[in-house]
Amino acid sequence: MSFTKEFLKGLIRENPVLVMLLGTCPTLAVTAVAQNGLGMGLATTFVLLGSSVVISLLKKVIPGEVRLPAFIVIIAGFVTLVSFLLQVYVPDLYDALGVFLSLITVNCIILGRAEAFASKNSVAASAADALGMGLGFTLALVAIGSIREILGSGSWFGIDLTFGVLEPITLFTMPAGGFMVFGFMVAVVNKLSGYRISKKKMGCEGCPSRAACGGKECADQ
Amino acid sequence: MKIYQQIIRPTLVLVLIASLVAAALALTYNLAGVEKVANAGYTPEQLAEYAAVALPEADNLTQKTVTPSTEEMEDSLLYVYTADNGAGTALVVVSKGYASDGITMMVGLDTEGQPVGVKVIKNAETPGIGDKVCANEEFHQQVADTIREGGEPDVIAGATKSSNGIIGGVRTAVSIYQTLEKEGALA
Repeated sequence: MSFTKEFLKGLIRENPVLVMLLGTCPTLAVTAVAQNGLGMGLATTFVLLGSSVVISLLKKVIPGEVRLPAFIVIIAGFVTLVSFLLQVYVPDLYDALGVFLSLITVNCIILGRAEAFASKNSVAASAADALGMGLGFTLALVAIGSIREILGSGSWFGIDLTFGVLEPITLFTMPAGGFMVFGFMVAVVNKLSGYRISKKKMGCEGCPSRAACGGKECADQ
Repeated sequence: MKIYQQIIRPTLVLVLIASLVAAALALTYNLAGVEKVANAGYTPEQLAEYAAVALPEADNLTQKTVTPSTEEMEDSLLYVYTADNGAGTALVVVSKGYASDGITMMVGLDTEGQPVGVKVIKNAETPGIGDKVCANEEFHQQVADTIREGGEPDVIAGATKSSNGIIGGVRTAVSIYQTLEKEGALA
């Protein structure tokens, strides 16, 4: 498999948020404005890239029995590193992301990629996969954040678009609006892909964790 | 051999990984100077901006370190500042609005301990409802003035809880001031 292919699959075809529906909690929680979506996306991409590379390097050293705790310790290390750096250099973003920054640790996209991909593939392929998945996550967050900010706050990346005339629809900055935009985005991506994704998703073939169990769980049922 | 493979080796590897991660983090913490940032409070520019609203007569605010002695202080008080020119005291308190810990605000108090102004620094109130109360400086001034004159401030209709958060914050600041004064912590 080429690295370009590993990289591109995360952007649209296997987009972690809009296709695999992973990491929904941070997606909905921080996307009231586009800028926070971008910050969250980039922070997650950094953690994903760092942990994937380290886990791929250590895949022969980490015994299978303690693989999950070892992955989580490495991921948590990178998350703490990011939160230190944000706290010092980008305090506004640090305040805006709040508890969701620490919660990157338990973002299932990261552990999912570690378990399904990085622990089985070469360092370069893991880095390409992590970058693709991270940027796919970032793209989805910025798209949802942009729609919510434009409709809900009448601005985009802090630039006022209402010109003092229009009253924004506050609902979109609240959780309910987040769910609505998220649902519509998933529907649009499904429609554009001709429902190929949701058909494939039915059953074992489309399971995002298939690589982890190798289809064994399905065979057992 | 089996014990080594299944128990000892995994344990050692995990301990080693955890130690390396902890060491790397400790190094970053010190190199990036996280401790300084975490305990810094507000920058002089931010302080000047807040004080211009909360305690306009003050020239420069100096932070005072106080030990919280009551439950009220423990729960609500963040920072204590005194004006260098003796214009009064500014307390930064956290008040419960619609969200618990929803409103962080600076309350300026004159030399008698009576409120003169309020500046909301941060709020987690409902967008479009409660956060309008937090941005309404006219209302904040009205609350401070009414409490100073011994009255009961009116709330803004439709955002009672956030309004009460502002009013409660001012009352908490007045009460904490009295405790601090009694303890001689402000001298």
